[in-house]
Amino acid sequence: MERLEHSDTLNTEKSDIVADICAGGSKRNTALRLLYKNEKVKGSIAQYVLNYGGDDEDVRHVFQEAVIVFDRKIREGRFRKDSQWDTFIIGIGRNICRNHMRTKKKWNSLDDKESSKEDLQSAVYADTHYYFKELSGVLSETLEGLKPLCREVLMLWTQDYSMSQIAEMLDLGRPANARKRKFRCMKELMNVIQSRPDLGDYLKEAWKTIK
Amino acid sequence: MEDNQIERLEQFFSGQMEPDEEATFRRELEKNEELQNQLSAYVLAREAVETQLAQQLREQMNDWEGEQSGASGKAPRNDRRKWGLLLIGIAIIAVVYVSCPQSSDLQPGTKVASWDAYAQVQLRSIERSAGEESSIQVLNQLYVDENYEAARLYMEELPDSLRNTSESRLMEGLLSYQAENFKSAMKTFQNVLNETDLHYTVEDAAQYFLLLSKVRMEECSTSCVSALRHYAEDDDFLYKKQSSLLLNKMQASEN
Repeated sequence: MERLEHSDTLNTEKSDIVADICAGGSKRNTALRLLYKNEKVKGSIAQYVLNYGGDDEDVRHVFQEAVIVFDRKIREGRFRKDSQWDTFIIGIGRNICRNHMRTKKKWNSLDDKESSKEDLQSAVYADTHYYFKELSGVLSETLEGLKPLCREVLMLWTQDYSMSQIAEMLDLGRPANARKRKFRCMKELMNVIQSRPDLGDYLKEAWKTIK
Repeated sequence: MEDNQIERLEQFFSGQMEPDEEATFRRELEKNEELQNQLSAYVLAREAVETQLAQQLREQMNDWEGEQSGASGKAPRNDRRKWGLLLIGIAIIAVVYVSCPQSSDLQPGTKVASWDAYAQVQLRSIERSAGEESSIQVLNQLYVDENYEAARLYMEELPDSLRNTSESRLMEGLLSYQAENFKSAMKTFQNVLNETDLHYTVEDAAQYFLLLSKVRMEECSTSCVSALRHYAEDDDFLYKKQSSLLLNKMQASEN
């Protein structure tokens, strides 16, 4: 087992994590797996979490969330190519750790009926955190309203699988069919979202997030 | 909303518009409330998929963690995608089986050589893209090669992590079907369909082979026929073509 981890770490160093995540599909999966097994990155984030008073469960949570955010930022082209990818993900991990530990502290301090200025700030942050967490739940529900095939098409497309790969994997025939299906599914999902009254406020504001 | 409008939203969202096109779009956006609503719905739709993707990645990472903390090296991991590949193989076999013009007697496993070659080529290409050899692929190959007894024995050797899945239970049903133990196959397919949160490849396969087993048992009642008719017209059903061919065969044998 030790030998496997060591070899995985070496592979992470040799491979171009950023390029592989951008390439999408199976290359992305392999890159993320190697990244998750990279002891150097995990160790740096773990050290930070432990210094913040976190435990093993916090380390796992923070590291996993850091990988998720890192993956998304890379796919969305929000990584400067002159930066080091490992410094980038460790920075993400530190931010997540701070937010996570503040949130955790908020609940503990409320239990203890303490209300210092710092706790209050943490509480405000935590409220925001839980507000967005609630939105995630509603959005997941909207996706559940689609047919499984539609969900699969949109998930694969978001992971940057090509239309010909999607067509092959889902037995849709020509790539043009996959592309057509993707548009149809996106339209369906948008209709589901627009029909949800609990998303009304977000529907008024979400377009402003693209500036 | 037309496809090209969604494409426009997509280009704006991902920053792929030409500068002058983007400026026009932004001007339109400021004035047009309908466009604002469409863009907001698009943003939230993308967020919904990202939320789901994050959840999927979390589950995958938990699996990788289990891998690190002592799974025995020889045991294959529960990999839905590879089960998915197996089911694509099964779908190909279903095409082979039902679309074979000479196999009018609906015997399980009856195939035409050219179709068989086609299936083999397809499966090899799928396996190449899947990467390393795995137990699932071996099982896949045994099933495609019609080594059903070997596949059954092989299944018994699979670790619990692979056996305790709806995909595995579906495979058991398929092997019962191929052994012409239709009653047991029907029961297994029905049990699979009673499970919640099924992957669509599993659900469609269980549904189709349940109906096929009923046909073989000569128990395909009015509701079974109308289900086949429904699936024969459902674009999202993986076995649409097979359902249609099966209906044609049934009608031909009645005449």
